[in-house]
Amino acid sequence: MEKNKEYIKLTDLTNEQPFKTPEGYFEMLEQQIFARIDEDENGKKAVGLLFYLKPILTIAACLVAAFLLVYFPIKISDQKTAENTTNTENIDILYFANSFIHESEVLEYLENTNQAEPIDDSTIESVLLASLTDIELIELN
Amino acid sequence: MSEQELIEQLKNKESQRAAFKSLVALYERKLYWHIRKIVLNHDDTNDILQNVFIKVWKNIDSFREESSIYTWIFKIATNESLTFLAQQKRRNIFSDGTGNEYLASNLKADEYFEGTEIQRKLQEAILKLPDKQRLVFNMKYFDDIKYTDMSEILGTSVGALKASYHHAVKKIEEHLNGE
Repeated sequence: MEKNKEYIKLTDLTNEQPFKTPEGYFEMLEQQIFARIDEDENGKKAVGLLFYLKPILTIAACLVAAFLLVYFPIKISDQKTAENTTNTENIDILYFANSFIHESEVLEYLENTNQAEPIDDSTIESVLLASLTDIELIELN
Repeated sequence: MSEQELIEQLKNKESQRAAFKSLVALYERKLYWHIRKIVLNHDDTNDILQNVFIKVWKNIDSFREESSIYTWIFKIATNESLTFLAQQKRRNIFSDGTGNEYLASNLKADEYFEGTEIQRKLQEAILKLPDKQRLVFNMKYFDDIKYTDMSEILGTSVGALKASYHHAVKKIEEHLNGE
């Protein structure tokens, strides 16, 4: 079939690009590429430093955790002990050190008396003497 | 500066940065238009082009000099562009056989297209071609790349490329003439 003159052939067309770029695109391109390269390399340096710091940071974190795990229970335990000794603060510790009676007997005596009042020495002496047997009393005298 | 000198400077840490600037200046436009003809959209082209240069920068030490640096960079650019297109097609639900709806819509909406009506028709015809054939056609028709160079870039024989181009021309002319 004979092709008429209106038949478009590729060779009849221009092979110029029909597209364009934004103004100044190629002038900015090099800058943008190097900005990405520099950003990437700075990121690598930060990661590199972290590589060496990581074990040190890990050990430090473990020590802090261990310290906290030991410190707080001890602190709480000390507080409880301090609370338990509050009721006996009026009693001279020396009496316990040298007494012939058990601590629990003193505490029982205290429960039966008014603990809000300060305990004087004569009261303590009475408690201690009350617990001694006749023979022990004679030996004391 | 010869290609050999450029490669030596690129592989030398002290001169690498300056040599890379020369490389960018040498190939940025050719690469841009090569990619642009594949993906059509300027923004996509810009992203891909920058990725190509970053890849070249990171891998310059492993460039084996079995081909020219020009061929090597163009291979990277072609692969990056085709990978991008494949990703776009996977996102497309509807297909006209070529999976190029994304590109056809890019062409319609492109604010950077300044061709005549017949040039737009030509671009639409080119989009109807399968991707590899479209690549061959663009490289030959617009860039006049030698078949031997094309063969290295695309990894296809010269004979196959010539046949592909010949068929592409026929299909495009049929489309332009409404056949």
